[in-house]
Amino acid sequence: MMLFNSFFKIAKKRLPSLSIYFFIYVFISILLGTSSQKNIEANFQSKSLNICVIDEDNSKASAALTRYLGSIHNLKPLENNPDTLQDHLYYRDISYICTITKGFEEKLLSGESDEVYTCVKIPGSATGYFVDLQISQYTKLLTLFLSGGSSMPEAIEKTDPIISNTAGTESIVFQADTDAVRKEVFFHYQYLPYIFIVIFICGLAPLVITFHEKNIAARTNCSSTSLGSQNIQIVICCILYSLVVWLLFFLIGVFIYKTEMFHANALFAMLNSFAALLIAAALAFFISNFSINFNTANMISNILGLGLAFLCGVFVPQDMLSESVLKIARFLPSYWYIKANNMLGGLSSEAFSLSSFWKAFGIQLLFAAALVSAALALSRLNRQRKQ
Amino acid sequence: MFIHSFRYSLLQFFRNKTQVFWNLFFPIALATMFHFAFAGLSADEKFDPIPTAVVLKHDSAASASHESPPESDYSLYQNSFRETIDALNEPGDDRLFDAVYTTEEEALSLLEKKEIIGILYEDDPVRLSISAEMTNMKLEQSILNTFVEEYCMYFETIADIASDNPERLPAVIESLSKDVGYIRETSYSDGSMDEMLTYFFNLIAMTCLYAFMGGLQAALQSQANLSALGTRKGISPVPKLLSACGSLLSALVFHFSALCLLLLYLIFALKINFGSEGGFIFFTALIGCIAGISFGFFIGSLGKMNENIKYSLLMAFSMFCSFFSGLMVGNMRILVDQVCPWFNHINPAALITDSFYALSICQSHTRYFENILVLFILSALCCFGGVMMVRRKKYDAL
Repeated sequence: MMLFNSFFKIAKKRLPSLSIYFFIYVFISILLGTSSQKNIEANFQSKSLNICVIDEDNSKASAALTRYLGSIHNLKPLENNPDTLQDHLYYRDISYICTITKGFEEKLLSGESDEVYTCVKIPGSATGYFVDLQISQYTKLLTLFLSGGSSMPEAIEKTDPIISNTAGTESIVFQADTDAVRKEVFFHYQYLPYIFIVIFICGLAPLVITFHEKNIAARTNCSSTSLGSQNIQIVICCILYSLVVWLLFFLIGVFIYKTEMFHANALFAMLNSFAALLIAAALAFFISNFSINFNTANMISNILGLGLAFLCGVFVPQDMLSESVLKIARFLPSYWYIKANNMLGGLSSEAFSLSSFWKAFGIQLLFAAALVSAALALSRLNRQRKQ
Repeated sequence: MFIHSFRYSLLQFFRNKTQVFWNLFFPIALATMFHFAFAGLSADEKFDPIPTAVVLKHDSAASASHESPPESDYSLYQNSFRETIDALNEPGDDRLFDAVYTTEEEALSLLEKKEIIGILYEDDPVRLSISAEMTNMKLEQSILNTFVEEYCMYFETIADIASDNPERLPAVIESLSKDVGYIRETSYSDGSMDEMLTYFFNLIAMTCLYAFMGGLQAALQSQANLSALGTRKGISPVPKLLSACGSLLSALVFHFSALCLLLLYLIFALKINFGSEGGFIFFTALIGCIAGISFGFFIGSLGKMNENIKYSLLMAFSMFCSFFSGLMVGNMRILVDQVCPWFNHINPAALITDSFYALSICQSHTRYFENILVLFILSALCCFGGVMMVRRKKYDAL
């Protein structure tokens, strides 16, 4: 068991540099876990945005509109300074800036309601359209009552109850049993392809390479340990290393999300993460055929890990990736991992189906098998070259 | 001697594969990934017609054919509903719906498959059904909900006025049918509001801070107790300041060249719109580079810690600064502004990012020059501190 022991001795030495990734991951997981938003809300609640209302009129009508917008959205009190407002809008801290112009109430009373507001929003944005719709809706209702002969206080009094009497929007729950799991559970699995690739290429590949090094390999070969035993010991080490990493991440999940990690969909996600683990291990096995040092492994892992993560939707939702990027991503394993995870957690616009899950899972296994085969072929080629 | 030191340091930088990778290839690769991944950010914000199923109240046979039903059987309310849907389904800029008339069963099936956002029922009052599982479509659901609310409200209001003041009803209907533009859209700047730009600004800021590698190398190689080259330089008759200046200048040439290549790649290959102030963009990169080198030089000169510890410290510092300027979370800068605004005024990554932002968005250059001035002061302080720490050092034994 000399090789076995040496493997874990070297692994222990590399622990500090790898633990950075581990702690970053735990930090993100805990951060996500603190927001205990339920995946599914049985009662529909309108989207609430951060907006800013600047009331230059200070009239009853402008106060009523501000009150109405405040009942739906979160009104941010910001200094009426173009630079400050622009900063908050640019960085999406607020979605809309509505200025109720001076003379607003008088204009409404005289029936001249053209351009009584000025707005600044992200051009062409859906959020801007949404708030525009609500402001126009309120103003139109107010003008209807005014043209119906009401005074301004009467019109406001009549408008308020009508507008607060929300429509009968029914929220349908199709998959009744998913309400026990939070979205965050699936976000816990979302970043695993990146973390696994980094940990395995920076951690596992250099370990295997150490044993392939010319002098060490020659020394091991002339020992009493047979070639078969050597290979078995290395393979067992790799399997144990992979399982420990996998288990560790699962236990972090159990620590943060408790029993939710054992829900049916969460268990499917766990199975999916096993496929990602196999791919990362296979990739590390493949790379270990090249004689690289830790620095090179670090470079490769960053480029591969980040490349796959950005192209396949680990960091940015797949729904937001362009069609051409998705077409390329279909040839990459992380795409199928994220597709399955999104389906399980309801993180995308694709409905969950068991057949789609098994398809994505199977494709990942095929990727892993292809990588292992390529690694074996390369290893054989290297050995033949050496001979 | 200065030229000799400059020349060989420069050769060293260009031959160091790790430096070339982290300062040139890694930012270019990251920029390419950003370009592909964040291309959909602005598209995601844009308003697109909402896929909606419309279930009409009368028999399902006509509905199932996906065609609009005949008008004869409908009341004013129902007619108006269908006309409204058709009007808002017309192709054009004001299109709200991507509507399909269908039966209730089919509509529910489409909703379950997440192919539509909601189902509009032509009841009295009009109803809306949405899927509780489509939590990522909350905005679209809310827009549909607002439409239904608005639709029902007008009818309720007309009914209210008709019962209270029937003589004012024509005026009300006239007011209702008047197409009024209540809102005038303005903007504070002509610059691009594309969220993706923030990530590129931060990427450049991160690359500028990565120039610490050059400063660190210059500092380590001028100290006899920290590197073999430092020992050799220590016993040569070259003044330490001259040799350090040569190394620092070569670091600046190397890192600024890498940054120029990155900027050219961003502007010409990825077509990132940094605005029209090209000269200032490169000047900001140069100042950022000087700041990065200065930080590296200062930490490199500080204490007797070995290269690895100093490198890790500086790497952690640049990632910390980049994180708080928005490299990982785009709107981090504004969040920091709300909690401790002073930090944005001393964080070098935030200063570089804000300089690019000011060039792209702000009308005047006041904010830009304020940032540049702070960066310059920070760099000068670090260089001065570094020089003070390495000067006049003598070693009894090594």
